[in-house]
Parts: sequence; C-alpha cells; structure tokens
Amino acid sequence: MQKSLTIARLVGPVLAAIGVGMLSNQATYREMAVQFLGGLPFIYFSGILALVAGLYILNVHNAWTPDWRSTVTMIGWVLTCVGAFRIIAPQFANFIASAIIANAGFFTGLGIVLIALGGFITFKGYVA
Amino acid sequence: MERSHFLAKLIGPVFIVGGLGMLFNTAVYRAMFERALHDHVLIYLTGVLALVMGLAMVAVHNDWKWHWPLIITVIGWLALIGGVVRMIAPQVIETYGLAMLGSPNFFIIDGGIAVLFGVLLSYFGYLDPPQLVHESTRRQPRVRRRK
Repeated sequence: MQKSLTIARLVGPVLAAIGVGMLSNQATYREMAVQFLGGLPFIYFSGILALVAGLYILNVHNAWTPDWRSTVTMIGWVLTCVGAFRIIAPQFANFIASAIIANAGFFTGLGIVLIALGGFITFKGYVA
Repeated sequence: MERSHFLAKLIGPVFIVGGLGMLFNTAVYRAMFERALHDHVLIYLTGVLALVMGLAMVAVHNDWKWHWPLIITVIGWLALIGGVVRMIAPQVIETYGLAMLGSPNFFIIDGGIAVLFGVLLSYFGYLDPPQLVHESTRRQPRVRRRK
C-alpha cells in the first residue's frame, strides 16, 4: 500500500498539471506538440524516459487489486507500451500522433481525462 | 543483490527495445541520430539525464566482484562518464558520434550488443537462476540449538 501511495503522490499531480495546461493553454500546447513531433530525436528520448518510468512502476507495483491501485498499475503498463513503441518505431509514433492532434477536440478531451485521472489519483494518494 | 536484480529489471528491457529498434529500423535511426548529433542542446540534456542516472546507479550499486552485477556497475560508470563528457564538451560527442555513424555496420553491431546485454540482464533480473546467485549474499537459515 505504501508503494501505491508514493507513486500516486508523484504521478497524480503531474497528470493533473498536464491536464490543466492542455485545457487552459491549448494553442501553445498544439504548437508545442507539432514542434515535438517534427523531431524524431525528441520522440526517441521521451520513449526512453517513458519506458524507464513504466518499468519502474511495474517492478515496484504490479497489482491488479479491485480498487484504485489498479489505476497505478495501468499507468505503468501504458508508459511501458508507449515508451517501447516510441523507441522501436519513432516514425510511426510521429505518424499516429500527427493524425490524432489534427483533431480539433483532442486537447480538450485529453485534458479532461488527465484532470479526472490525476485528480482521482492525487486524492487517493494524499487525502483518502 | 536485491538492487542488482531491480536495476537489471529496469535496464534489461530498455536495452532490448533500443537494440531491436537499431536492428530493424536502421534507416530511421541513422537519420534521427545524425539530426540529434547536430543539436548541442539535446546532447547537453541527454548528458544531464545520463549523469543523474549514472550517479544514482553508482551510488547504490558499485559492486566490482566478478559476477553478473558487474555489468550494471560498468553501465553505471559509462553513463556517468558519458554524461560528464556530454555536458562539458558536446562538440566532442558530435565529432565522435558522426565519425561512428559513418560506419555502415554501426547500428547492426551496436544493436546486437544492446540486445545481447539486454537479454542477459533481463534473464538475471526476472528469472533469477538460483545457481548463479552469489553464495555470500544468500541468507542462511537460523538453527536453534536445544540446551
């Protein structure tokens, strides 16, 4: 339980902050995403960071219990898979992400999801 | 030994995935590395990350005994030294990196080595073959003697 709380206290606020940024600063986020996707080295290095972070979470916390802790495990798996995909085929990550961010409502939708997810994990980590 | 296993579980899959990318996506990797090597800010940032990771690894794992955790110690020191060079002189990394990329087989060799060490570390980290665990680190069961 202590490991779940520690990870939740780190991951929750980060996700919530990204979500708030996406909702309140959409134009800059869109421009930033286009610049990020324009350079494969950035995709590659972000893949290494995501893979290391995901593997770290899964190695200290790989529990599928029927409560909020499964969310932390799920985030670990998502980071691991996204990181591996970015490292192995950065050009496909670029292709898919470019198609996704072309959607006008993408940042609004993802921002809401991240705030909900980050807020929930932060609440469980600090308050509950 | 516990730390060695944990670090092997983290580093092993990263090496395997990176190595597979080098082996099966060589053209994109070559273009990507050429672009990255011309960007001194990117070299500097990767240097900061490598130095922090290297320092963390060396601080918790500096085992020079002749058994498999030695691989992790060497990786930690290489990350530390690589990070320092990247931060102090990114142009040196650019020069040497571009020279190495000039070799047509660079990604085949580098990817092969990365996959080999990744598989080794993942094997030791995740499967933990008991006969290879160093004897001195095993816990001995306590035996109570009756008086």
